[in-house]
Amino acid sequence: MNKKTQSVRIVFCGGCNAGYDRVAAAADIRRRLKADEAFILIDEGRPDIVVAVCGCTCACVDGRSFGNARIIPVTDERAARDILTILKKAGAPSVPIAI
Amino acid sequence: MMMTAEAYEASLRRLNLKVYMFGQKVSNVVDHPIIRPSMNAVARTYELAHRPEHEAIMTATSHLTGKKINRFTHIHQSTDDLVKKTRMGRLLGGATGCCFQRCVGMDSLNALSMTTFDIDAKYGTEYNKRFVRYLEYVQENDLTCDGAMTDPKGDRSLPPHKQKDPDLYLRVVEVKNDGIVVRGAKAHQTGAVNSHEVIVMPTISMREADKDYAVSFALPSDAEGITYIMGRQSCDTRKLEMGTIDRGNPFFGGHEALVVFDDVFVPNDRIFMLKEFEFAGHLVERFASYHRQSYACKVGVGDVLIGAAQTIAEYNGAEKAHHIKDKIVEMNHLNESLFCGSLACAATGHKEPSGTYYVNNLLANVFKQNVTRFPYELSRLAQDIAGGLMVTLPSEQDFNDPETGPVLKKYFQTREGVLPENRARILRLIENISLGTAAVGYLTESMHGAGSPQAQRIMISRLANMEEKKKKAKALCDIRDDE
Repeated sequence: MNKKTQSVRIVFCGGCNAGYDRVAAAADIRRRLKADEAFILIDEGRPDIVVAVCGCTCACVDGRSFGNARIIPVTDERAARDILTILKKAGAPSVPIAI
Repeated sequence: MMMTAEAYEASLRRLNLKVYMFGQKVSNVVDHPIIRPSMNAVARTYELAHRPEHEAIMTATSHLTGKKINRFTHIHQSTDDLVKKTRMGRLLGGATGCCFQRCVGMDSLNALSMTTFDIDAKYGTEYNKRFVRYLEYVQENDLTCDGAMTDPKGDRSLPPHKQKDPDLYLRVVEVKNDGIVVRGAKAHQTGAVNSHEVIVMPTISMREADKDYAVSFALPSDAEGITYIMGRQSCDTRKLEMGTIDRGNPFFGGHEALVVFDDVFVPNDRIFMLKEFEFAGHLVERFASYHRQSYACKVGVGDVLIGAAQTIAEYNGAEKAHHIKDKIVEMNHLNESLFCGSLACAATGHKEPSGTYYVNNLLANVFKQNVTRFPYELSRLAQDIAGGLMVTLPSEQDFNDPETGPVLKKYFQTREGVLPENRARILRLIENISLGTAAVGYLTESMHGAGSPQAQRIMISRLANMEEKKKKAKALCDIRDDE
């Protein structure tokens, strides 16, 4: 992970058949990211990283509106809990990682 | 601008609808206890559009204005839009456990976006221009539209113009300089009294002799001359009783109505087809295919039913029995098979000359054919798992009665930690979906809505490419017809 602070935006898929509580998972992710100085949360605009909280492994988030942001799909509660590890492990990959 | 659920309810209160039920005029439609749950279900389509966790499915970008709109007012611009429509159906079916009524308007708008374009291409008319202006109005105000297609039809062996009573199909009775006057009725109108607008379409293919019946238009739902007569639903008056348990789903429901047009004036700018009889079948087919795709909602209701079946199995202490597990597997198999069908017809859709994306017609019909069957089997399995108590359980009043209540709580106790009240609630929910008020939507609407089973079989017969199939078979066993 770069020393520079990276902007992160949390978004959702549509949640047609979510396998877990995505709203609670997003709140959990938000709390963890807020506690880490490496990240700054933004709610609008194009971030460095998009954390896409998706209800299933289909992870159908439309990334087109986020420019070149890396899209990190979260598809279960465990991934939400491990978000900091996942982001730091991901470093700066050019493609979304599978979780 | 997208309405909130609260704004939607307030907008309905401003309507001046003429509604009858049980032989009486309904003075307060929104708060009537039998109608109210259906209003709640439509309100959910507004509420979820404002939630970030559902925004990606529930909203779209208008191709007319570039603004964010509720997906129910959107014209599909890609196969991704069609897939999202399927996903939205499942989401809302699961969130309401019933018919949420708003898909029919969306399907009418999409079908008209194509048919008006195609009529104009042939005749140089301006229906599409009118329609686009109307669509912008619907999108801007986030309106709920009733898509009114099904005429009463009288003697099914006779075309519209040969019916003994000419009003058994809705028709044009007068053409004026500034509009037309129509008379007739539309039956089975889902969500009619929860709608701001009613969009009328013909119900069958027509020939020249029926051209007065080839008419499509949109009107405010409270236009002068429109009357609504509410349909009954199994167990509907439970909503008038004290308590909520016996309703099964105390929050949401659907409704249908007969909508009568008694010499109603339609201004020219609201007419989208007038006597172009050869396009009646065109419009019917397009609407029907979209609406067949819309039955993805039953997958969401199926999710609820499967969840209820698993819950009652656990309450009864039966969830580990092999046959119960197998029945739950079968229910999931059937439900996900339905989802596959709706997704498939969406993902393999195509762009029409108007620019609107249209579902794969063959697959939409195959999907809907399965919808006429699978929910019945899902209901049978749910009733099997629930046990007979689902239909022999005494009323909520009996549970609350000081004399009978303790007796019922003693004899209807089950696995430790499970409240008899909760057992009753889940049983009533299964009853609601499989033979109560919600069965209107989950079963009979699955059978006949968007066309009865035979309608899909006719389309499958027409669309399946039999010549290519024969060629493949003959090639593999070395039959050479040209020899």
